[in-house]
Amino acid sequence: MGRSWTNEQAISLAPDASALKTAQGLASPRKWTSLGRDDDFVWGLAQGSGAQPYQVQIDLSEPVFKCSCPSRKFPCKHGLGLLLMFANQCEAILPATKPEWVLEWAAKRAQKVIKQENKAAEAAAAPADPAAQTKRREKRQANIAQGLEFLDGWLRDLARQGFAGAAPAGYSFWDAPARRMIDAQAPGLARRIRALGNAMGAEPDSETKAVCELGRLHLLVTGSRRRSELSPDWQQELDAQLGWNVDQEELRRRDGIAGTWFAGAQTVREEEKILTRSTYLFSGDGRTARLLEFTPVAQPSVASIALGRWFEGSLVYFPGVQNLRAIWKSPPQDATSGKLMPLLRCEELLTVYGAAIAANPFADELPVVVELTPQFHHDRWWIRDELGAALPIVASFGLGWELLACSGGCAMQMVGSWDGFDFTPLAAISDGQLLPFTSRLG
Amino acid sequence: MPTFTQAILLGADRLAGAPEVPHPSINDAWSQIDWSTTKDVALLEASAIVGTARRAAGIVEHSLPATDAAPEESQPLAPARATAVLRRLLAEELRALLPEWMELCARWEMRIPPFHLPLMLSTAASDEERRLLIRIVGERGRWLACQNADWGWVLNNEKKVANEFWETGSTEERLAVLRYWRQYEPARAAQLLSKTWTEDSAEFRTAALSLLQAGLSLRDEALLTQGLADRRKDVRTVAQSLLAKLIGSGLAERMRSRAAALLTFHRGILSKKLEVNLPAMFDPTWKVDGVEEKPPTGIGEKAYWAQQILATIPVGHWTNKFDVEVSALIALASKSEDWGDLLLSSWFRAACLHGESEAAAALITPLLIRQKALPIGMTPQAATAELLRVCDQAARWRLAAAEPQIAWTALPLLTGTPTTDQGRALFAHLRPSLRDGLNPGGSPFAILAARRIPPSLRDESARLLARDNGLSKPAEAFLQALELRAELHAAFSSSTPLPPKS
Repeated sequence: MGRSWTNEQAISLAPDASALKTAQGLASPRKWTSLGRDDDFVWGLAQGSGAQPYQVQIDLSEPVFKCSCPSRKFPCKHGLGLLLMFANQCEAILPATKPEWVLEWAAKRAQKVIKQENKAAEAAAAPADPAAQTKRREKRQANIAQGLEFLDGWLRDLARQGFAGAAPAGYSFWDAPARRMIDAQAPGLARRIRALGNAMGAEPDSETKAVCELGRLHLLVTGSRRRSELSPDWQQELDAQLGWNVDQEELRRRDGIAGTWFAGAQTVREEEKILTRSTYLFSGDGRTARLLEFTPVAQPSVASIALGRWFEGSLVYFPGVQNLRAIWKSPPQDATSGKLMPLLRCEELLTVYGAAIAANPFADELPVVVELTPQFHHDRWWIRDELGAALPIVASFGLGWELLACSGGCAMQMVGSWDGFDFTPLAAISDGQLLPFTSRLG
Repeated sequence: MPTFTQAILLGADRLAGAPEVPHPSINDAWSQIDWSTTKDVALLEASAIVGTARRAAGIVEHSLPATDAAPEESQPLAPARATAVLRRLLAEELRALLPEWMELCARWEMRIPPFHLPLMLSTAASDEERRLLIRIVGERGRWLACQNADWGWVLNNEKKVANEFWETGSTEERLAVLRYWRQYEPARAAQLLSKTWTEDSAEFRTAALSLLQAGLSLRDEALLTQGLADRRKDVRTVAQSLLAKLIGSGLAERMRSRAAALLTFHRGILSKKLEVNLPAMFDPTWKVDGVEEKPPTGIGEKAYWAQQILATIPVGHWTNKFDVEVSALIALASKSEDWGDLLLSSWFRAACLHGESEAAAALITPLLIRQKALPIGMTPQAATAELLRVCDQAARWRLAAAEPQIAWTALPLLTGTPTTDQGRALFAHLRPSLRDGLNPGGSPFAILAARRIPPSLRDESARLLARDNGLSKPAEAFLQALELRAELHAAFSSSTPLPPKS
């Protein structure tokens, strides 16, 4: 199946800005010979510093790179350069039949893919050793229970000394209990403890945000204690908050929600040597979904969804209470453009968010599409509706003038998130194009 | 009763009684908290309630004034392919190529995509860039400029330079006032300056006096003569230069008559000769005109006096008087063993002062040969750069293409598009050091070089820069820049069948 990759997707693979620059320098046909492509592969010979040119090839399905150069970077500059050329100057690479050295690797790839599929099928068919699974699960539950007990005591200590006592505390005050939660196999708790520590220092509104984090930690602890009294949905929500993983293969077998979805924004966050990439999807009938991908920091992967495009497919939502996280039931197809349902009034945004919080106090920031007017007033940026009501844009947003320039003083469709305090713009839709605001390489 | 905020800050141990409910809307939930027994747990519960309620209860702001929308655009948007190049040119290292993008956009009468307006408006470095930008910002750009004082120049708002600044402003502001008036009413600027002349600092007097260069006329003679008598040498030097430039000023006339005896020209049958007649003694009237009596080390006093006087007189005066060509005159001086250094050093200053393009061009090579004639502490490259600044564009290109040593120094001063032959000639001079990666200025200068070579030569240059061990970093930067330029031109010209207006 012919896959196309956009320039943005290729760029997202670059491990850093200087690697990108080098690759961009290589993305010019004069540096290559024997360029060719077919539906699944792209290949070429790159002139390096050695006598022999390097054999560079890309399996377009994921993509997967292979290069004969000695670089240990992944992907190397030749691979990335070839992909950039493929994305931007496809005409420079002519359709051809695979030469010998590409056929060899393609065959190996095909075998590997078959082996992987077989393995997955086996794993699905043969039940995993249920006894061992249950034992592991029970052990983890016991660890988590211990962790929760410790946390309970730690929170009560914190409540007794108050924020004034804790605020000046050093890094280890927050790091130590967070590590303890990791050891207790409850990474979700570790994340919340760190968030509480960060909220303590931040200005403005600092103790308000800290109160929010503290409150949620307390709810997690007490909720977990009452777990058996809660509904199954709530039990699954608590599991998710604590950090239990969900079997994604099993999830894919459930019913999905079909529709056309717009990839509106993407954020990348680094935490504990893991990159978390969140992609926000919006459907034509007003639904929202969040796709999460985790990769180790040293091994970047491409975003499999191109921003600003519409896709047709079924999403399966993760269990929990109004959990926005979802995965594709099967790979989505490109779709013709649809229409979004942006929120037009500030009050609407507050109502929608209020409902989300009321249903689930653990809800994170809400991804939304709004059609509002950006405006500068009293030394900060706002989004305003036609009734004159306005909500603040987060103070750390640095592209306010760009926002204003694109809007031209009129209401403009923007993708962003609301966390109860500020709006964070993530992308604008202007002149029919999606303009992302998150950190852009190249 | 303490507030909730006080309670959470001080902690449960220091809590006397139950804090008051922060907001009536959470009364129901609040009233269920038990503050009597375990105050720490109560505080945690209160945090959960307050935190959740606070997040759900955003408050809408109503005091924002209505704003007007930007007007409709008349210019078409730059094509997407060109915008893709623009994004790459906004990177720090490639900024030298940005003005060309703006030029092409202006020539095709297109405009910048709104998203890039703020960055380009904020980083416009020179007056030239600003003038280009004004043509391509479109209605959106002008609308934006109304809302940000930093971009007032787009709307020519700098006309509103208030006169009060002259009395009370900072040095920068006062100089801006002078510069402004010097452009529109030169006499007024001189008037303002003479009003406060005696009170101003020496640094200010020096800077302000040099601004009189714009719109210089005999009306300024009185003020400049005041400057000539100043306590500080810096001020006197500026005053002397400007008076020397002013044809018809007393100083200019006096210098001319003094110099008449200094330099003679013999036209023999077979040869021509220049001869300098050093003055016997220091005339006190010279001092009034800014001639210094005591020489620096390295030059005799009489030669020093002669040099100072000759330096105020344009080279054109001698070519007229002796009826010789500029190149012949300077060639003659270079050949003179006794007087070469003195004449070349005087004419270096004279050509720069009077902006004599032809003389400056002719002086470059002789000064590279007779380096003793250079001002003390000035490198040959710096002297070449100064002379090139005086030359006109055609002369600069000619020299850059003719002399390998000059090519790199001339680069920052070259403007305009060369012919393919000129480009090839220039590249031939730049190539050796570029290939080895040892060119002056490294990669940044390599990118500058790429601006002056026609993109059509890129395949040729790539071959000529190739080495066994791969391209040097500057060569790589050069070729990449050349490719970007080619892409840039293609991006604009492929978007419309019509040729551009020039």
